[in-house]
Amino acid sequence: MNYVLRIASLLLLLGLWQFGSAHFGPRLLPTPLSVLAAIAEQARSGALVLNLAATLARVAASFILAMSFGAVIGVLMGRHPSFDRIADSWVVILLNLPALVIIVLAYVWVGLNEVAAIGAVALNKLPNAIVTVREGARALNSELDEVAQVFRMPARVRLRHVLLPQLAPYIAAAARSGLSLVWKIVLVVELMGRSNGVGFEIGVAFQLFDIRLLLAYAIPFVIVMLAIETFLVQPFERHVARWRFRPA
Amino acid sequence: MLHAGDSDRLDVAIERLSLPQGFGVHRQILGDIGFSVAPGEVAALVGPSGCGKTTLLRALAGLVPVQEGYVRLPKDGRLGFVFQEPRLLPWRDVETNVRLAAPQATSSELETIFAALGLSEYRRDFPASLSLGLARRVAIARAFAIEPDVLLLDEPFVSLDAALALRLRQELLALIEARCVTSLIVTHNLEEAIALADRVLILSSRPARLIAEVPIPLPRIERTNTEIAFIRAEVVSRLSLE
Repeated sequence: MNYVLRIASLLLLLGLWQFGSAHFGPRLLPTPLSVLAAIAEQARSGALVLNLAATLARVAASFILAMSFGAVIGVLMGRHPSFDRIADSWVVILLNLPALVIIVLAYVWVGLNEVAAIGAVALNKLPNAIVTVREGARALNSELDEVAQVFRMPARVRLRHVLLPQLAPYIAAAARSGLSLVWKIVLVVELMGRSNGVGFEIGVAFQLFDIRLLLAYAIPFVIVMLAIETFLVQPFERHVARWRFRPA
Repeated sequence: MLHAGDSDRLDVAIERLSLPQGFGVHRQILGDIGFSVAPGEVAALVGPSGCGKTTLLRALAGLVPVQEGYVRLPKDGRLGFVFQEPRLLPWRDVETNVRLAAPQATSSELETIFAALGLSEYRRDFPASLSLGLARRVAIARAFAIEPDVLLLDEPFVSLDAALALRLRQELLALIEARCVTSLIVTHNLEEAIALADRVLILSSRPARLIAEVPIPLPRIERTNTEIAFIRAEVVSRLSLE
């Protein structure tokens, strides 16, 4: 029944799209079939795969950077109030600094290169990861710490079996919100300063007013990100929370 | 202060232990408490509810600092602790919870402990699916599995049915006698204290002081109901004098 509803909802969206295309004209909103043909065209030429791969590589690099630094800094801030007081203002500034400012400054200061692009995206995501993981570190169960202390568990055992499982829901939440933030900012970074990637192609399509090309890149990319969310992020969330769902 | 002592006794010589109560206020929990527990000896700690018995165990485990005086564990002694709550890692199954505390334990040793505590069929279960009684047994298994030299137990058998509590007491005594474990048990159950201990230590209300020691010279096996009732009456009279 769930699948039927999902498929019906998808068909409704396609119907609305087709109707909108007829209403506004194919130049403003090309039909689903013509966009499908454009996707096939881009795929045949190899451009689609190359651009998708370039964007995904940037998403992965900046995501991993932001999550790694964010988790470490978040834990330190959550566990050490003095470090929290020092770093908190920086985090608040980063949280409120518009993404565009960071991107422009990165390109101006570092140059129009991959380091600036990936660094700018990671820096945009970083405060978000820090704040989420910091909440997790603040909520750590001190009773379990005492168990680890009394039974003299080595540091790596404490990290793997006591600390990380408590932080996992927060890391998963940061990963989930982070992924959607990162891929959106990656497109902006590509639009502004890279010569490949989905963002760059969307920029070209915008300049040519080619909505068909724009959708031919946007839709496969959204599908890829949805697949990552469904087949990687959600299963990870379920895995780290599996102990919660046992019947009492 | 917590010392890893150079003797094989457990020594307590606390003059003052205070804990922060919030807003910069410290409240004295423990006062003048001094006693020793010899290897293989079982001491039971009794006293009014909230007097600081748990805090004393926590000080011995190094979880809270002693401001004046010291507590000293036997040299190189392995410490087993049964907390008042089971305190299991909810994301690890029963066996992993025990293994993480006792990585040196062999599978057959664990099997023996699980069988003795009636846990064999729950090895792969997560703590959330266990009853409180079962979770307590896992916490006891964890403390047993490390083969402790010193065992601190904070009301370990509360909320267990009488038959199981009796069996667990026998298991505990077997472990203590086999390994010459120095044990300190906090309990409100005087019969339990008298059945298990070689000595009952009586604490006053907060800030707790040691007000009396009641030795139980008879071997456990020779303690009859009459003698237990006699010792119980003595402990109660000391407690009510307070």
